[in-house]
Amino acid sequence: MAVTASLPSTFDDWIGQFGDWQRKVGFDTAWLGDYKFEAKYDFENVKPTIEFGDYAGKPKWERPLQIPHQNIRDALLHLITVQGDTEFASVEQQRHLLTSAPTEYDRKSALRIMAEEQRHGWQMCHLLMTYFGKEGAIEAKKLLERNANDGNRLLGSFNEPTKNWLDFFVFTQFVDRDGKYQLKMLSHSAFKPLAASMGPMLKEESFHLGTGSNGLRRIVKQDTIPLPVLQRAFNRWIPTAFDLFGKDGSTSSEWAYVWGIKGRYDEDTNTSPVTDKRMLNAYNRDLYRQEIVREVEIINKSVAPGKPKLIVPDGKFHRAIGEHVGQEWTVDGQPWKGKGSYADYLGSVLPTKEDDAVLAECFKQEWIAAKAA
Amino acid sequence: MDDAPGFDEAALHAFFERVPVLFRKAQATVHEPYQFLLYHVEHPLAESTTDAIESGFGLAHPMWNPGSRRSAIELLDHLRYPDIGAIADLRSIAGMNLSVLSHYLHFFHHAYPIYDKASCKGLEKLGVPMPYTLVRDRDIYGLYIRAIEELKERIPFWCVPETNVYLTRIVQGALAAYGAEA
Ligand SMILES: [Fe+2]
Ligand SMILES: [Fe+2]
Repeated sequence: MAVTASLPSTFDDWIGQFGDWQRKVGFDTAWLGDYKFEAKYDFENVKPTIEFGDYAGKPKWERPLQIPHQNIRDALLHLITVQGDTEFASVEQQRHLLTSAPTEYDRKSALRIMAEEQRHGWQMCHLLMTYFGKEGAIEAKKLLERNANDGNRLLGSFNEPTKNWLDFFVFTQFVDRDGKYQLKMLSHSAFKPLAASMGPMLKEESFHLGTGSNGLRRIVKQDTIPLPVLQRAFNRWIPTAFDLFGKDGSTSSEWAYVWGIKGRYDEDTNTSPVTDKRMLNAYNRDLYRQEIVREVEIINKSVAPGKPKLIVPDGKFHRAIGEHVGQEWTVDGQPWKGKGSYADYLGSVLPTKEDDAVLAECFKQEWIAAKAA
Repeated sequence: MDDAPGFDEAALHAFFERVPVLFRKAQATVHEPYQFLLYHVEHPLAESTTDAIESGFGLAHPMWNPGSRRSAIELLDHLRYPDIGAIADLRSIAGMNLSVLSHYLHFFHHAYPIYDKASCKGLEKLGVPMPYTLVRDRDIYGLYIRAIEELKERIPFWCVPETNVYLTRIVQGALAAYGAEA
């Protein structure tokens, strides 16, 4: 697509460009009903002093000029940009599902989730436009130009097509749940407007996660979609969610911690000091993994007796980032030693063409229960 | 908001921390019908929808006259949250009080809160007196909506459970369970 928009000089300018983006995505603003796009800051629930790192105990920064040095400012700009990128991307991924929702409430839920993701992107652009000068404006503009359907969003999960409603529920359960982790880590940030942005976003995310986990339980309860098809969808999406935590041994997450701008997921309750700052991504990813294992156990309660339970793939399987890239691991974390090629193995545990056909048939029947068990 | 109701701050914070548990308690009594209604109330809205809502919540059925139910459904369906002006235009039907009406509205547009005695009591315990009336008084329901809005706005994120249910219901359900406590 030809990009002709000029650099937004005010937030109102940016809002105009956002309207163009909505038109391009095909999101009709009449669908929003009473939902209002607005920047929401919850300063009431933000700690007044920096919570960790080299500046711990000093007052949090309210304005960019208070940020001690340029590297920190650049890192914040980057964190906000990446977060905003995921928000707009997910709408691009999900928009086409509105015509095939299983029920009216599901359609309304998807619509509301898309509206909220747009508000989250709006919030990030409000930060960029308000606090980061020309560089912020450049990034705010680019957030509306990259596109998930062109595959040039910044992170892997957000360039993957959500092909159908099964993908939608798997995505909201596992990828939005990664989003919760990122937002919670930023809610401890030394940059106060960023920290204060997170509360209202996290409240909205609770509905996204609830929609995902409930949807998967309804699917399993109905027992129309074969469990191996569901498992292959898990095998596709969950490794991309693990990737979202970044590389182990990452210096950027180490610095983000030292500077106090991005904490551990459990920073508010974990009183022990960080022993290895280079392993922060692994630490947070592991907490996430434990949480999704618990979530999958809940889903498994609805699996009919005698059928194989769903599992969370091992953290080494099918990774696109970090030390396990290109390695040959099975879904349950064993070194692969089968006959044939590893590519054939992958073809059997990741979604297949036949799965698409099976799903298309399922979607013609009652494929999702009206309520979870 | 200059006309913000005066919540008792200490009681409010204690209440927020209990919302996940209180919500589950409220939902436990209506979980089956509530979830059923979420996924079965669809457009075009059938007349039997109101029966299903009343049965789900153990409400008495209004004494509909011919045609009155259809026009009531249409009128409520056309409302847009948080507007409630038109509820004064409804014909009077025995049994179709503000509480029953709010149940319909909630399942037509999930942002409208269910108005019931226990939730009003819950608000009162939080320092905001809220009359419980059966008259279809739009000022009172408007006040009620504003109070719920403030709770939605002020509840900290860590007190919001992960559910497929709107925040309106989470807050109002928790209020009802809170109000029902001795
Ligand atoms: Fe989001
Ligand atoms: Fe989300």
